[in-house]
Amino acid sequence: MGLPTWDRTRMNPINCDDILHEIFLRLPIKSVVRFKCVATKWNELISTPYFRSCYLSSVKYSPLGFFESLKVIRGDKIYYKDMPPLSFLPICEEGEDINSLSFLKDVGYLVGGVSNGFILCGWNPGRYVVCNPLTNQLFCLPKVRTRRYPMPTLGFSCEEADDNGLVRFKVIQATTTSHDVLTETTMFIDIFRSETSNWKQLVFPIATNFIMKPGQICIVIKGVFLWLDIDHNEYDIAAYNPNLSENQLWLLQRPGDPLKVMTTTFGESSDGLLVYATGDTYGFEIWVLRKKLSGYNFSSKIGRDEWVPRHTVNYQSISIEYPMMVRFSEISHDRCYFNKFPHMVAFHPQDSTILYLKFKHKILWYNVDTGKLELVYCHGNNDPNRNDMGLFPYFRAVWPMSLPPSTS
Amino acid sequence: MATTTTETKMLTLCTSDKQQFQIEETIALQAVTIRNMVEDECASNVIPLPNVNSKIMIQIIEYLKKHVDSSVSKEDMEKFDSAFVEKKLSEIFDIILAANYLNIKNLLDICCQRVADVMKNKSPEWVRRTFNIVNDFTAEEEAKIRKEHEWAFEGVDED
Repeated sequence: MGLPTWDRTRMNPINCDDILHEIFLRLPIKSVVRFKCVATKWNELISTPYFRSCYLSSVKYSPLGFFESLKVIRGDKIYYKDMPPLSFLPICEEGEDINSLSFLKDVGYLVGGVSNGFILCGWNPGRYVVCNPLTNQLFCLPKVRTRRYPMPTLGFSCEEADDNGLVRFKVIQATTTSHDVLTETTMFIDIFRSETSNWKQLVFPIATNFIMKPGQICIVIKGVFLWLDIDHNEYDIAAYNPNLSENQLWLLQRPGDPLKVMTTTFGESSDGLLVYATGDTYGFEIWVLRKKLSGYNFSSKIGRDEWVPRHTVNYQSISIEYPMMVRFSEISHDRCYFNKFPHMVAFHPQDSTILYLKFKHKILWYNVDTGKLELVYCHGNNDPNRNDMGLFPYFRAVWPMSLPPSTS
Repeated sequence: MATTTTETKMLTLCTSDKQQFQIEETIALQAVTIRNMVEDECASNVIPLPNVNSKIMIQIIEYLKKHVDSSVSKEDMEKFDSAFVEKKLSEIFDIILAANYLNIKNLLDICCQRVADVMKNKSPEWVRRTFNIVNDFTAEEEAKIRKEHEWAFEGVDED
């Protein structure tokens, strides 16, 4: 670039803390971390809690891309598709790096989703690996005893542990009894905590006929694991927060018309309330729970009327402005029914006014406040193999964190 | 010096090298430091700016004149800004110092962003060399930081 070396005789603004601070705030986190070793003063500035909080609030938080979960479930078995195990669809330059990491070819499939920049991979059931796709760090979990039936649903929650730069994570595999009990279900939960580094098995009854969808990746919102019922029983959402109670959970009814539900996802509102999106061929609705989950007793079931409607979108009405949302009746050539309407992918983890949708081979982004819809990613072709795949937006942890050392 | 009686009120800024610049008040008031001086009425006819030289002042006035113009579209403003920061790093730093002193937030923003963009893929060695920064770590300390954050040292530009 032919930059002149800084003139020693003049005042060097890079020695001014305020200005350094401003420059650091505008660097990607990778560069910030690298520049810790420029000089002790730089390291000190970057390491202060003040800088860290400024950085966290200034950073633009957007996904690097989407991981695909490539499984199909038939009956009680999971079949992994004949495709590269860990498939990632990058939507920015930084996301491109993830596909070039060779170690990701050996960690199996995405079985437990994404949390705070970490992913849970492996083979469901039994063999799991937590990894950070940006730093190549892995944590292999000890093998867990698996029950034969049905396939467990996996959940993964990763959070920052204090200020030491390490994360704390939980992996939960859960099933319910699958025989036809009418009024009671038994929950089987295996929980792995990184702090104890072992699996703990829990069995407890719940007083309803809740039957968990097998072999799923459960959505985790701020440490609360959310499970869905396989069909329309009386209570069709179970919410589990092992930090509050290991052998109790909340049971909720879905809002709206239970028969219309085709695709759902959860998020968190800016004031910490559970947000629920549900869509079908006509459009989607967003609902917010009246109170925080922790404000409800475990024993009191949370009924339909505890949800407050927040937003409704009718695909027909927005298809005029967004031709890509063509009326679904017009695209009836597809064999697969699944392919005919947009799927709720996920809410933005920090901003529940942003909802990611998947429609055919496109990933879209909907802004609840502005009503704007934008294309995020488009596969070149509409590969029918991709129709029923799960999609998980991947956000890097804003501040770098490490996994604790693996014990196995 | 005669005070202006025209509708547009003018301010006179005096740089460190004793050059005087007459500019419209609305343009100058974008600099919070100048606005405070005017509001506190501690400014006489001539506002002294001992931390800014005339060479930098010319560029800052160019920037302020553009930004006071509300008819410029957002797109054109962005174009102007990105062309404005196409300068040598040493010049950018001079503007940063002046913008920091005059408290012109958006100018400080685009200049700091420019420095960050130049630096972001560079090695720590490049940064030290370019900015004349003395490495005051011991070899062990530096090795420890590098070891802890190995991932951050991948994909760095060749020096």
